[in-house]
Amino acid sequence: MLTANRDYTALYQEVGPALWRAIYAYSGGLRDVADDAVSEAFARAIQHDGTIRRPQSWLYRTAFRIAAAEVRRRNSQTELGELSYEQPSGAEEVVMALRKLSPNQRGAVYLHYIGDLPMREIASLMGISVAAVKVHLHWGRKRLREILGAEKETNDV
Amino acid sequence: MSEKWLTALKTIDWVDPSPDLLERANEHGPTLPDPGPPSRLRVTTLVIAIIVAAAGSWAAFAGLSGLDGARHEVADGQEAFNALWPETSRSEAEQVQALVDAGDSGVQWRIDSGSVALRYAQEVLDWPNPIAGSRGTNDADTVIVVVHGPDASCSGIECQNPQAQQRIVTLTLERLVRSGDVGIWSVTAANEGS
Repeated sequence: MLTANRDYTALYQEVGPALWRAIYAYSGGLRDVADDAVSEAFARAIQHDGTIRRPQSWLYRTAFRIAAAEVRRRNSQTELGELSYEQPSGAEEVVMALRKLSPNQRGAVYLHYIGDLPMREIASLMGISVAAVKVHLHWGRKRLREILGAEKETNDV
Repeated sequence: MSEKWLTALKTIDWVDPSPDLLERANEHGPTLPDPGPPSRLRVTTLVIAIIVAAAGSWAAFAGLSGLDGARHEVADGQEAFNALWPETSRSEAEQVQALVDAGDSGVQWRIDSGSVALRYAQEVLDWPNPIAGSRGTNDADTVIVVVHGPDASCSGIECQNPQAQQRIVTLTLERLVRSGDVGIWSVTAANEGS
């Protein structure tokens, strides 16, 4: 058991669920990737206790870096698998739509529109440039409009 | 009224993480390999960082003014390779390009000019939270990136050092090994100011 000076239980309660959902969206609904990335990021934060000035930003960057490596590894081997666990009603449709975007598009769209974060902060948290965030947001939003907007309108008729 | 796709996206908030993540972190500690740059890039970075540290951090920053990779050109008949960072020789850069081509996840950041600029700021200048914005050029294989730091996320009462976000460095990045979207970027010049 590692010891820590910072209250990581409180930090997890404050940051953990939102970070997990951001990684969940980024990975295209891969729960195990989100679980591993978030728990690993917290483990490294605890290991480096006392040396991290801004734990929230640090946790996001670390978790995104870990998730990015895993998503790339899986993409290079095979397509993302079927959703093998039960999703809340409505979430499965969104996850399948998100999978038609790139990971960075998914992450940027989620952090901006659900996390309500400005582009500069998203760039910092994801470890990419502001210009790249703008591009990912543009194409991610356009693609989601095409997929989710059109499908819902069709169902409404 | 929010758009339909946005309403749908909010259903992600109904999904909950596994309940034992912090427990796992506490009990097992770090278990995954760090997906940072490959070891040879770390060695290169370390060498550069030591040189920069030896010169003193402020002097090193001031010394960036006019720093141009063209000075690294050799005149003994070898092909010139004008990169400052991460690699300083064509053979090293070609090895990294080969890793990118092979799909190595640890080096894919090299094909994103913004990521390369941010890593330069973090690893060479030791800026903890830089931000970067790109400027286009007439050459698709050259980009100018203006990086702000050392801690551009530092603002308001949280920011103990008002100098934390007042430095700017302008980097020139070029694709020196291969043109196009899958070519790796290298820093070829670094100048103080915008």
